Amino acid sequence: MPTSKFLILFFILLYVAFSCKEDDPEPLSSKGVLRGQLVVHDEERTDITIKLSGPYGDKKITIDSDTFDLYDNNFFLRDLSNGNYVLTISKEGCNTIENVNVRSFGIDTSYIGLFNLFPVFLNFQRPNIVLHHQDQENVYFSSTIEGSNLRIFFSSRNDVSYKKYQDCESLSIYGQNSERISKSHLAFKKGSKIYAIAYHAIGNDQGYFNMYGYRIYSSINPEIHSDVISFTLE
Amino acid sequence: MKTLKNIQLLFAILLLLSLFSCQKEQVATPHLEGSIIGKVFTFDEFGEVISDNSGVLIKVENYGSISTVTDYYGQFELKGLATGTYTLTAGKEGFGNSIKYDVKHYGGKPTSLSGLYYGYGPFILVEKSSGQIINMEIKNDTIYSIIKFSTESFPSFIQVHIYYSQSFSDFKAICSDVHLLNHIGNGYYKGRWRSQYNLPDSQTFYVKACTFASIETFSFYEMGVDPSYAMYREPKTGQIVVPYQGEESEIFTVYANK
Repeated sequence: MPTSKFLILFFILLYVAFSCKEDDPEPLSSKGVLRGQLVVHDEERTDITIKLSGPYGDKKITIDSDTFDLYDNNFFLRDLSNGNYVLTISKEGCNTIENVNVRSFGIDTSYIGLFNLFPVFLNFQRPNIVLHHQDQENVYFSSTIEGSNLRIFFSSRNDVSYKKYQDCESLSIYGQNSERISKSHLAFKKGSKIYAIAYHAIGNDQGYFNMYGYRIYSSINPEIHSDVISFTLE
Repeated sequence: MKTLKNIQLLFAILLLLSLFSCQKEQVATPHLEGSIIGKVFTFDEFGEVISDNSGVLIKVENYGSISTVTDYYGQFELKGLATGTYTLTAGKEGFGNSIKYDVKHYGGKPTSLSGLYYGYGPFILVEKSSGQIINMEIKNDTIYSIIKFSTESFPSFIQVHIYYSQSFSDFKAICSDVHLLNHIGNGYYKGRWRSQYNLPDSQTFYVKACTFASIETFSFYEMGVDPSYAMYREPKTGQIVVPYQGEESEIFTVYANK
């Protein structure tokens, strides 16, 4: 047999050996449905993109008033293969909802939660907070910026932010008044050094849990925040 | 020539073998790898939050030797887990171990224990109680006790399991309650608890108890924490386990007076 045929066979063999890799897994089912609810605040219910990144690739849908259930604000993600997914909801001019862990298995319809899309705070002055004083029961904060609806995030580390914190509270500060937070509401022991950072927020923003276990408030503009202040809990 | 023909035959056989070995094994569920991610919150023996949640060992009990340790914020990630159902434990020296049974991991992207819709929640680890029950008395269905703690902190609330028996065996739980403690000096505290049952009058019987932290005073809705996550139900017996309760006291002989 000529050497060329021998070589051809050899390369065919090599090709088959290396192509014998594990195939991509096939889903057990592709009929899963996820139901969520979405409330869009102060914006039109158009051009909203919902993306699911999963084990079999990404799935994207764009929803608008026609595809929304106007009564219950339901949206549906259909024909899903089984597995875990990461959900992202975005709309131009709104803060993106991201890193939400959802999953589909079988052919059932699973509820994944209620989400709120808020417009991004633009042209807002940077908030500030000042520790006013403490008494036995409460910690008092004030702000030099009037009419501040704030969400304050607390941590015992100075890398505190809206997505990495150990406690948070909502505070509305008007005029020159100081507003209080009950010490019994703060997840820190007496004597702890606490770092705090404030963001503008909307009071009825209930937030959503991201996959890392943090409640994320989607009315917050991450770019506009106070300096980090620190105090010791007396 | 003959040698060449043999080599050709050999290659043909090898080629056929390769083709057959490429066939996919039939499996009931596809093999998807992924991570389980979660958080741990830690409390001291009096139910006060501990800020530094690092150093908690998270283990997968029924899958090889996969484990990891939490960071300062209590976060962890168990990597390389195939689709399946797992038992996870969280433990640290001096704390009661916490267990999560039947954690379903669908693979692909991470399974998160956080959030409100999947029923798992974060781990809550509580320091084991150091409370030693020095004595117990009963009067008018109220149990009075003196407890010593080994720490220098001043607890205000503590929970107690109290058991009673009329025969030095078959102890029955009569109280599992939270109460305010009064410091009477040198690390000794006096507390009182109300029995859930009417106790026999003018009789001698036997009681024993153990203490554990009360963390119900903290509301952690913002963090998705339910204090019930600190306990777990043993799947075989159905019993609720409080992993951070202290050692049971000696058995006290009491005379109930009304």
